[in-house]
Amino acid sequence: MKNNTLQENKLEANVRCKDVSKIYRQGDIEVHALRRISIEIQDGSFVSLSGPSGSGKTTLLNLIGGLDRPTSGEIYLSNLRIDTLSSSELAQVRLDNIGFIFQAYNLIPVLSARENVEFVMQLQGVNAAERKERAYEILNAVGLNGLENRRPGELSGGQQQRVAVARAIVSNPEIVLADEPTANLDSKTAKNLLEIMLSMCKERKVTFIFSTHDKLVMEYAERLIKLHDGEIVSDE
Amino acid sequence: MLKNLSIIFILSSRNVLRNPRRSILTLLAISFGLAGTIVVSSLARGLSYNLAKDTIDHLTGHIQIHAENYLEDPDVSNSISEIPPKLEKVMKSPQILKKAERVRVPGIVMSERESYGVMIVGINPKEELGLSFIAESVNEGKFFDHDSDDGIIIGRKLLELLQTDIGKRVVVMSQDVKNEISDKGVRIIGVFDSQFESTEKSFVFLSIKKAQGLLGLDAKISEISLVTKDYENLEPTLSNLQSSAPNLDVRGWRDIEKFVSALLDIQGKFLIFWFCIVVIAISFGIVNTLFMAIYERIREFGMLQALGMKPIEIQFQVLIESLLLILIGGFIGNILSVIGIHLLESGIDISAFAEGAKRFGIKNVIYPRFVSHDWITANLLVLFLGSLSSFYPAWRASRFTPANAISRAT
Repeated sequence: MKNNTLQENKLEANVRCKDVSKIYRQGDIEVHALRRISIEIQDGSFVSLSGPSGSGKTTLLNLIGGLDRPTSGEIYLSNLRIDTLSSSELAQVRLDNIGFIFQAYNLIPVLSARENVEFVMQLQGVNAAERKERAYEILNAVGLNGLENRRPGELSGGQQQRVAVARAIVSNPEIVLADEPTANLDSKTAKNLLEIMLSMCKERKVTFIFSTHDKLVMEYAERLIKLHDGEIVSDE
Repeated sequence: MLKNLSIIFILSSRNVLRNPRRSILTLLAISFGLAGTIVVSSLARGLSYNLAKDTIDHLTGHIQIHAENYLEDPDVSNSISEIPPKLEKVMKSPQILKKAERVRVPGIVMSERESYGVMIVGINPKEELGLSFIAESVNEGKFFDHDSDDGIIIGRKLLELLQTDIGKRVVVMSQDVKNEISDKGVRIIGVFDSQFESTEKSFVFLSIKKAQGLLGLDAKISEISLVTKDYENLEPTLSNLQSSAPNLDVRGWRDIEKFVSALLDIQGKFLIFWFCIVVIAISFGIVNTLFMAIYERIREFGMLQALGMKPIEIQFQVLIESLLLILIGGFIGNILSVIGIHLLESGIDISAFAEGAKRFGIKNVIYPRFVSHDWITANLLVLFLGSLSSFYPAWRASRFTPANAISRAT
């Protein structure tokens, strides 16, 4: 790790973006996905990023999660500047601090639901017994009791998304970044998952940042950040 | 990374099984490629072995001892008059299995119709038994019983050329020790066959004492031919013999039969070349399979990175997938090669090409000969080049930007 790295793996979840821009180049054309965005998100926040398609929600989420690098600007998780870290260091930061929920589930198809949930813990070095216990517990909490040994291909879209949520929160991350987490869920399941996430936010001070179009998610959010054409147009 | 080895291995092994048809095709390419390499190399080695054995059996033996200058000028004047006692002692060592003393000089054989230049070889029939081909190649008439028997044994082709027959007399002529022409009429008592037509045309055999008498050599000889325990590893025996007879010319068969030796060396190098070609072809198959598997799973690799898997762990995962394919394919390939060699044990009949093959001293039937270092080389090459070729796809798999990879449509 570089000089600005904290000694401990776990970081405080304070997220700071300073003048962050992201430009995608498609041949000679430049697409400004984000334009000098500056935001700060405190620990234990429940934040919604909304805006029309192409407004830069997912790009911002990816930059905060270290899945992409900004064209300019600085991104900090607590006091750790992450936009200058190597791929390997970024992977370690994600492993220790960040849980992801993707729109298209993105489960590992060759692993069962339980193994998918255990995966991050396994990379973290959690012992097998504890992994198993926590995986069963969280799968039960998201309503997948009895489906633990099914592979993603044997689960419905909603069930897969619940596995993805379980995987994102089971390792007690500091931040959970969720890209349209309720897009493929019925309202009852969506509400159920949002309740689980909200309770984690309150009880464990986990920061949740959603990129969403879903009004239900916005209703749950404590802070609504609206983006348009790569710029923040409102922050309530 | 080692602590995550178990999950990496689980992912790799399940990914190998994920697309069974593709994996099976890759396994078939590896296993048949390896089996083909081993079987073909064993046939080539069988061919080499036969060629070397026939050369050795011909009259060469494993080691020959001559007077200095004999090989450059095989004249009676270049004979061995006395065998040094030290050499006698070494020749009785356990490393030496057989020994034959010979007189061997150029001469002419004449029938009433034709005459031909030949090599006159005086032999001791008991010593030649099990050492050279001649004792077992007299298929018409009889072989000598003693080292002083009368008569001459000639090759079938020469018999035709001289337009003579068994039981008839021919004249053998050469230059004796006094540089006088010496000739003698002898009766053909036997006809030998050889796989080399040139041997049938150019060698005639007398008993050693009759040859010495014809040339006025007394007890002198032209050469000593030796058979050792291991024809492929002559160096220690050769140096022992050389140091015990510094005034004689002691050479191994490869030094005498330079053409055959070069042929065998070229074949050995060609085999390595052949191994490399086949293994490179296999490597292309592995690279192709891995690239197909990687480009199908770009999103997955992005997601694995997002979850905290390091690029090197992703590389390792792809390398293990490749290694599993290579190891399983290699295992099947080795079993197939054992079956293949076993099925060919009775030999491959190449009599359709017999005429051409005979010119090169190749028999009508080729038998496979398993050589362990060829087997090890083929396996190591598959393992090494196969793994090496997997590094680039593995590296590519770890280089995707997670955000781009995840957003990619499957």
